[in-house]
Amino acid sequence: MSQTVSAKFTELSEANTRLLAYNAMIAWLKSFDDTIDFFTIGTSTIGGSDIIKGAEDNIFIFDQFKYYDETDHLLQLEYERSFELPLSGLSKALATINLHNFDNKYTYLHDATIGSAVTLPKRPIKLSLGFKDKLAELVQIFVGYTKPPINDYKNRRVAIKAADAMDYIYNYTFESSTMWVDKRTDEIIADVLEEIGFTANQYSLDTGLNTIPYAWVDKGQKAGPFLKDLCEAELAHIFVSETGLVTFQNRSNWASSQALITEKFDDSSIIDLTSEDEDKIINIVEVNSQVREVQDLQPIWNSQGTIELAVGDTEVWADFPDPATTVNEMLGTNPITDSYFTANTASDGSGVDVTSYIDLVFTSFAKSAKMVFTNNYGGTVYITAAQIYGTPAKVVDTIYLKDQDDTSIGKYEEHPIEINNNYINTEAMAQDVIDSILGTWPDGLNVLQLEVKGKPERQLGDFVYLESSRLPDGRFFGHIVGIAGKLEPGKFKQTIKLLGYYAINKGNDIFTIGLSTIGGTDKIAAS
Amino acid sequence: MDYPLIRVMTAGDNPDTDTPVEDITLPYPDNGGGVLAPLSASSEEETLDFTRFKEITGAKVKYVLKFSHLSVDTYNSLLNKLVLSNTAYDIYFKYARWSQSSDWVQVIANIGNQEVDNGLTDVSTTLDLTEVNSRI
Repeated sequence: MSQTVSAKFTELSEANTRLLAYNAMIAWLKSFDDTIDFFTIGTSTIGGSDIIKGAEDNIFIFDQFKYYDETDHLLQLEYERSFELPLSGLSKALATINLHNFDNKYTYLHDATIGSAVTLPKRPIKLSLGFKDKLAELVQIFVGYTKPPINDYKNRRVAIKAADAMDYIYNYTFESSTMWVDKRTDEIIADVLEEIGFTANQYSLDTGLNTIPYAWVDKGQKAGPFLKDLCEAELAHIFVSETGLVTFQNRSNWASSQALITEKFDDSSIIDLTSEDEDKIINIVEVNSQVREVQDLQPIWNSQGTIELAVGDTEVWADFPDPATTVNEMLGTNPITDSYFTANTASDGSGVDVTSYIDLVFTSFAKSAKMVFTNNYGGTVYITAAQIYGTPAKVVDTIYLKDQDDTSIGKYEEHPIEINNNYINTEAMAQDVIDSILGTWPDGLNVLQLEVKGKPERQLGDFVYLESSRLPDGRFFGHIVGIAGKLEPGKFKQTIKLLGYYAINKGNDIFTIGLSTIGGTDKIAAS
Repeated sequence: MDYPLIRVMTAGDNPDTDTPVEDITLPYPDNGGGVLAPLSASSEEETLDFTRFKEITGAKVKYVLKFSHLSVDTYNSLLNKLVLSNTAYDIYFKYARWSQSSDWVQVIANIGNQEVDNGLTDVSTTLDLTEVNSRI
């Protein structure tokens, strides 16, 4: 919750006159530099080559590249990170920098060192912000990979967009089907990250609060929606931190943060304050889930008739109604309680058994199997019976839950939403999801957008408190679910989106350090 | 006090240690014609309760020299190096009148129109010199 910064940084950040500092580094050549040290206050220079490290102790892959300092060409910097609403399960971050190119540094092949790389995509980029003072550090606000630069040759400017590692994770396509049985959310996420190529010190995962009886991804499926569903099923969050750490926070993480206010806003610190529009109201929620569990070994496919095999190879596909964790290979044999096939010279099985003349190459997938039969008999034969055994993950429970906020419907008419998430395993979990949404979006008053002085250390998930006579209730508690920052010459502002807690904001019934009194009426929030 | 000096350098060369391409000595600017103008990349804004704050990313100085009598030769030297040149030079300025320019300071120089009065060999013009680097 909020990046850790020095006292000096905080002092400079809150001053009424602020000298802004910034830093843009791009590893144009994607080469590694083992000599890089981390930024040390009082020793390293702002704009120097030392890497600015966040609060985490790990050295990330992003830290090890040789970066080129592009700060002196920087004209403008923008970044944005936000959770996908309404359940805030997954966040991506984007950034754009604009550089002047009067010296043609970013023109292809002009610069002797980086000229061959300036048009290439996926260059590691790090952006940092802070305040000009030798005793204050810069805070990294973005790390990611660049998109191909857009060169404005006429005006000699270059725009470079970048996305954080979540973009890469989100769009990763599974190369094979993978299944998990009775695994917690964090265990599945760890497996996915390992498959994508992350090492254990490149992610930090809270212990998941949901154990999923059966989860699977098919070949060709994207990782992003899968991870989003996993997180949203248990009201958790996944994002890549400002320093490049893939982070999974379970629901207790945010719930416990409600006792720790990161920042207090009032009319002296808010430049602009707006509510969401009616489109963001949700007052009816339907949750659908089909819970699967792995069953004992049983038939999962049979041939349903004869299969004609001419001499040579014949390819046959078997589609399973349910994904299976194991699929036993078919053998040419008489019917037994396992996968088998039988071949005969007659389609009705009245001829000669020629099973021994048939070779089979059997390849199984989660929801299908490929069989290539080779007929070595010398004439047309028939597969008269074939069966595949496996352990299918069948739907054992269908959860459907619907709830609504009649008060909101009475005021604003119906605003329904349907949640389809097969990792919601119980009705209690479904009710939690419903309560979370209905408790957040009953009107346009529970999501606020603030324009404020930029503070680079702010993070998604920060729990903040607003006090303003302009608010309907005069006060507002909420988590930051979106941050958009913009640095221009002489200006650094952020637009932050707050997701409030309706019940809390209607009365001080949550114990909040710094606001509530011990022995008072305020309550500790439940997770 | 020394006259204002313009030093024309090959791009990247050091004005203190490398050989200049050309030194152009200017006359004293007119009385009231020497202006030091502070520049800053800054903004000021007010919050909901009218609290004002300011943010700054850079600050520098601009020197404006007005001449009623500049020799045509000096004007042409400036014109040829600052405008009518196929080579991009680094331009440095020194003038002890201001502490900010008592040592060589790199500037972007812009020369104004050459105003010619009948019967005079000198010309009048204005020279704008904006520092290249932020001082903060």
